[in-house]
Amino acid sequence: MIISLDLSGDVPIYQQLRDRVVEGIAAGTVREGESLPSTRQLAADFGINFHTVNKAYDLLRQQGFVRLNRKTGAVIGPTAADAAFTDGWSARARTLLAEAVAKGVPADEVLAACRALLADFEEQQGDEAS
Amino acid sequence: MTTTGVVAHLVLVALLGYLAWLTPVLSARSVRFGVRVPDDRIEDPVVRRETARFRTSVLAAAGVIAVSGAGLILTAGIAVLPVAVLATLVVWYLLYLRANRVITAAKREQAWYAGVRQGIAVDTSLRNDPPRFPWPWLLLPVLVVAATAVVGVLRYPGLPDTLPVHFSGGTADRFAPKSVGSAFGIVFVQAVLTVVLCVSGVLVFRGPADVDPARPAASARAHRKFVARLGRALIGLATLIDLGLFAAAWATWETSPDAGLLLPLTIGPVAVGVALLVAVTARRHRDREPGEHTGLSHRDDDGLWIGGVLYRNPDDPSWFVARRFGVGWTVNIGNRVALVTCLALTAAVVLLGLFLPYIIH
Repeated sequence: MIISLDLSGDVPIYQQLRDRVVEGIAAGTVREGESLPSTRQLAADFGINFHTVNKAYDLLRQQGFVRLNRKTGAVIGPTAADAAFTDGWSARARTLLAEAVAKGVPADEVLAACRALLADFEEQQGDEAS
Repeated sequence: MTTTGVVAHLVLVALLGYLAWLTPVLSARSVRFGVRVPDDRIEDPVVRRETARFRTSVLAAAGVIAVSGAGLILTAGIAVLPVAVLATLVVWYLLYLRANRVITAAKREQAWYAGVRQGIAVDTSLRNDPPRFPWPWLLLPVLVVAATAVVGVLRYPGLPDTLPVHFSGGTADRFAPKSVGSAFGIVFVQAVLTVVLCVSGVLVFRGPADVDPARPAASARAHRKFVARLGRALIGLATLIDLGLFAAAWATWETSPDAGLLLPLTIGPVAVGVALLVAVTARRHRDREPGEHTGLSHRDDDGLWIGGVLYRNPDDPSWFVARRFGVGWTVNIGNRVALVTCLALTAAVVLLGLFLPYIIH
């Protein structure tokens, strides 16, 4: 999995790292059971403070995308979506969709964009599997 | 003797001139003469002009040094040789520095990084599924060392009581009494060199990669390819040096060695091995795959490099990072533990080298 971080943006690095890993899981570039590099290793490869990587891994664990294990490090293991997750996610999706609607983007365009993104994940998963 | 001197001089100046000519391809795409430039400035008119100017000057300077050096060696003798080599290195550095200054000034004045999205990238597969060291290739140098040792053991009983250990001008001029040390000295040198070169090869495979955020997939692929080639080139170099030393060992075991034939047999393989290494290095940044553009540029890290050679980044937990120029790694002097460890190790090696003769006596 290739992880690129944008240092000139407003999004904190740990948040970007967390987002890229979640996107990697969705696209199938990292699979369930695969381990992520250790925090020190990843921080050294990026050339960033390892507390930043720690924070991202901790976030991923709290949100149930990885399991942290003393022996094997961070292992990808998404837990199934529960009611709490669906509620939280709907709230965030609501804000995101509201932004488009407030800007006057037509509803069918918003839907088409969502479908295209989902199709992109599926396509990448197909590519990875083949 | 002077003819050999002139030939050696021309070969050295040609080799150094060629390496100097290669300067722009000895660093990453986004590092031009030691200056980090954004992805859309790699082919900037200033960069192109400076590259062309640098190369023309290198050619001209190498030509002048080659001719004047040859003349000096013919009149003043072979002692001038190091001066010519030093002159080439100084000219190389001054031309590099000039290009560096001009590009730095253009970068600052035209604000090349204004509005550029700076990023960093990592390919985790380089850690989870690292490129594999070609272990079977190690058989090559090991077989050569083993063959040298076996030939030595077979010939040892028939060797004369004194053995030549130094040659000059085609004849042996220094001898040592026959012993395991004097007969097998070269085999030990072979073994040590093989271990050192192969350990470097293994380290190359573990070393950090500098993934370009502008084209991460292509640059991670290029890193894998380069590491595989460099590992094989290092094993190849070890094999060839061992072969050259085999020839040298043969000379010490002969009663009347033909140095005229043995010298090229010793130097030849080493030269081929070095040429192999240079070729691999020169091809490193040649892969062009412009299909990939993420819109990110490598972060402007000029401030982290003191003089373009020393890396200091206290935020970076790495002990070693890929060098900006040439091949290899450099210690992160911003990491205190790494710095202290490296200094202590260097001091230990230097002290051991200084006091070893006294300890043995």
